[in-house]
Amino acid sequence: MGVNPTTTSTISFGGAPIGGLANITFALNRTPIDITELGNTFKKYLPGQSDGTATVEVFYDQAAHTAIEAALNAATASSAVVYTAHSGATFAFTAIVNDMSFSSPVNDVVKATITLQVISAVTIA
Amino acid sequence: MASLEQAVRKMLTEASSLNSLDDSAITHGYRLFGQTLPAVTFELEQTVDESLAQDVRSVVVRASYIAATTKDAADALSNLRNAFAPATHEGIAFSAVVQGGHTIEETVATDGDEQSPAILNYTCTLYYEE
Repeated sequence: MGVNPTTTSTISFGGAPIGGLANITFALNRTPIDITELGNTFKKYLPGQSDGTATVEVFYDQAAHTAIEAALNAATASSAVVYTAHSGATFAFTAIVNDMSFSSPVNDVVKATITLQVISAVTIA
Repeated sequence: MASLEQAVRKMLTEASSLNSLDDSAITHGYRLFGQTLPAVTFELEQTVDESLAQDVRSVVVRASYIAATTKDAADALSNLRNAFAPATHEGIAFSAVVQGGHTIEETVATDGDEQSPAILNYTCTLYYEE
């Protein structure tokens, strides 16, 4: 088993790398369907629908993040996203921009948090 | 490529707010022996990788403005603050300056007629890309 530093972690949006990355959180989940019957000792589940989001924290630079802002404004637009966890480990999917929040705290730099909603199957390679 | 220390020194020597100081009055670490006042010294703390691809880094700068009197040191605060500004020096692009706090060490009279200088200590954080 290898240990991989985050220095090679990247995420691209619409084919272009997202710049100024401070953190990437990628979550895939499948909501279980409860089929527990009366008399069951343990609860029973079936696999339900899958879902996923990628939360990306960046040092906000409007010139570098226009594509994401444009996608957020265009409600129907979706873009290809590729998250590279480490060299050779990628998660590819189509996503829409769910939200983008900005923070300007005292004694700090401007940051933005972008949430990408997965709307396709995720290709893991 | 120039070192980060060289780039920060270039930032200070080229700052219009410090143009009353000779080039030799701005030094990394310690004030040169015999250097007339006022003078500026600075030190850099350990750099920090701020971004995943390591293209954005930060470093804390501790600068000291050494003057003959406490008033001179206090009056220099805005000039010292303004000297740290986003620009490219020695190939290093400083993208943001986060202002920090300051203290003033007053002049202290010692034996005889000797008097130690006043020192304005100022801290800021520089974000940069190499």
